[in-house]
Amino acid sequence: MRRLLGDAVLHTTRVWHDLKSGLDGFFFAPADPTALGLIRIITGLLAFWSLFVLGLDLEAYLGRGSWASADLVWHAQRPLQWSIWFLVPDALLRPAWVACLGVLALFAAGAFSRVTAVLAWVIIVSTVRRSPASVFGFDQVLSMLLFYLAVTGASGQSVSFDRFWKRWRQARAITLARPPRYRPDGLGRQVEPTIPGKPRPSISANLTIRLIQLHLALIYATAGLAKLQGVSWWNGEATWRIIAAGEFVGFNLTALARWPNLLAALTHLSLALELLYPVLIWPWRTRPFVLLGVVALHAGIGIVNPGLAEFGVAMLGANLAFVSGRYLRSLATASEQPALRVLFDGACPRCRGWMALLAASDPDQILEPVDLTAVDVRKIHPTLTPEACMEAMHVVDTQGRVASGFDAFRTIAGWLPLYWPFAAFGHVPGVAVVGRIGYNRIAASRPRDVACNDDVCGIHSRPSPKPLRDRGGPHPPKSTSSTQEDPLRRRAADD
Amino acid sequence: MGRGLARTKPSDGRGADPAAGSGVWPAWQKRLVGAALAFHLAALFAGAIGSEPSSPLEQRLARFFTPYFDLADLGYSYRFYVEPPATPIAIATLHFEDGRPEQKIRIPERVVAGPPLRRQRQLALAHALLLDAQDARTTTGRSSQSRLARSFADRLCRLYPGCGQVTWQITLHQIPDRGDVIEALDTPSVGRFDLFDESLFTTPEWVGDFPCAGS
Repeated sequence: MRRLLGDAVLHTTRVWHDLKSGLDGFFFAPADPTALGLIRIITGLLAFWSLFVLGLDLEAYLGRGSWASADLVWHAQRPLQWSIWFLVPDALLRPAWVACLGVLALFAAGAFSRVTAVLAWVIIVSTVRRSPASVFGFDQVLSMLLFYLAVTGASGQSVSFDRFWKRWRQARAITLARPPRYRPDGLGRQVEPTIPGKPRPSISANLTIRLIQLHLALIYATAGLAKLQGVSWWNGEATWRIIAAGEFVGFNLTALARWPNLLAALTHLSLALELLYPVLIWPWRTRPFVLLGVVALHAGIGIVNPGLAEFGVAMLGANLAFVSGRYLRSLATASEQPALRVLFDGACPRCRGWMALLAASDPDQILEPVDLTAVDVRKIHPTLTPEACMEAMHVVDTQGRVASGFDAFRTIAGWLPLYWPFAAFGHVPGVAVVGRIGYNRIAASRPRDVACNDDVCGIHSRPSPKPLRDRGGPHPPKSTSSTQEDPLRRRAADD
Repeated sequence: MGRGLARTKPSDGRGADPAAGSGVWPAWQKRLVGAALAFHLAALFAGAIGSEPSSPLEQRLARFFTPYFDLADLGYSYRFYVEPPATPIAIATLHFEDGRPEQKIRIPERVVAGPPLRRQRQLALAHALLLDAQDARTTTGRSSQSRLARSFADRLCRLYPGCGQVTWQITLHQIPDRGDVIEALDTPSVGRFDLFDESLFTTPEWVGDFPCAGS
């Protein structure tokens, strides 16, 4: 008997220690915050959109005489429920709404993210509480995500304006430094920030991700288990009931009535996905399949029921918590880094400023800035000449393709997610024509640090409108001799 | 895909972002946060199991966390689409004192300009009215005691000057039986089934008559 009791105590102690150690690793190990940054963007944009749409009928939902009047909601509330909208008189409703949209936009961008995350949560919860008659599942998911992003304060640790601003300020300070700072690899003036581009793992990011993961598992589990009460989920009719709900659907899909087995299969698969999600989402082998199923489920619901599209996007955004930061970053970067070598005029303050901006926007080091005054450009690509490079910025990709001037900027924009909209705009017919003219004018009139008294600099056909200045300081280390080793290759070998 | 999709194995903390706090938390901090996590996760679980149908124990557990739910807007049951239901439609009939003909307002409107989310909010309004009317009927025996119906009526009274009384009714937009749809589709003259066919709407159920203030 004593032996049995002793073994039981020993086993329990071991289990307890294993559990403690497991939970410690689960909750308190640093994690990559990249997914969290993307969740913040999606949640922020959805919150902005939700409030914007509500603003189309602002008085009807948030005014004193709304459908659910302020008096009614106020008196129906329990003591600890709250909403800032009760404090806003009707006359100030529109300005307050605009201010709230501004806060949500800042939050989505990741600006002042610790503060705006809390404010965003306050705004959305206040709206839900003020207009309880108009809420549905979308609001619950939005509120949940904002709660975690606000409580842990980790939402701005990646893919955020805060981070970009910090790196840009540092990069600009480096480009303006006196004496000038040069790269140790012999590639000329330094324009990149020294703050690492890739976000470092943090415990607060891990906590947020874990809480979202657990909450999602709970949502799918309860949704799936509850459906077991419904007859239509057993007899395979549930999908039919969803696609034939006239008030909800965007398209008439009643022709599918002839395909009962398809409808039943979709019903059973949806239910199986929700029931199995809490189990199969954790092992890495099954996770991709579960995530694909989730994408199919929510995309399907969103297409059939357009009013639930935002709900689907919120759920898909939340599911990013199960995707690794490395994988997410790889979607926006090349398999080989750097993907682009950017040749810029290191003696031109404006060029350095632009390169600092681009480098700050490039956390994954897709670009490799190369100061053309410090290297032999022919070694980078045989078709390049110092004269051409001095006329316009050039980029060379890993395939050996070269672009220059406005086209180079457009190529760079296509590689950096922050500038994708500009890249798309650059392909609008006519924009490139105007862009090239504008670029060439700006490039031809750019100021330079050193007096233009050598062969290379003398190539400029038009004199600079500003007097060329020699601000002193050490000249960049030269590595242009054809007998010297290509510094780019040397660096690659070092890597 | 594959392993790449999975979250990276947490590192040992040496690379933690200084701005985000220390890579390794002290024991007291972990204990404090661990206790908060335990409370929060227990609350989530209680909220999920606490709504009907549930046992008295589950309900009691959920009630324990009610203050937390109220503060943090949590405690939802997430029981979406247990049985995809017929859709409630609220119909208001406005009676004018100046002899104008009656006017009917439908919530949700058949067509709402703008994004679908805007109409989804109206669908939620009708659903809330249905629940409140049912609740009023259960607790007082009369759906006309619904405070939400009163509030909805007050709004319409303000929006339509001269309106003396608002009558609320609720009809259910039913989901057609699949067999009936196939039968209709097999009829040569029917190109496609009309999901807004009048036969799919139940007879409107009276909620209450609500006189406008000052009328």
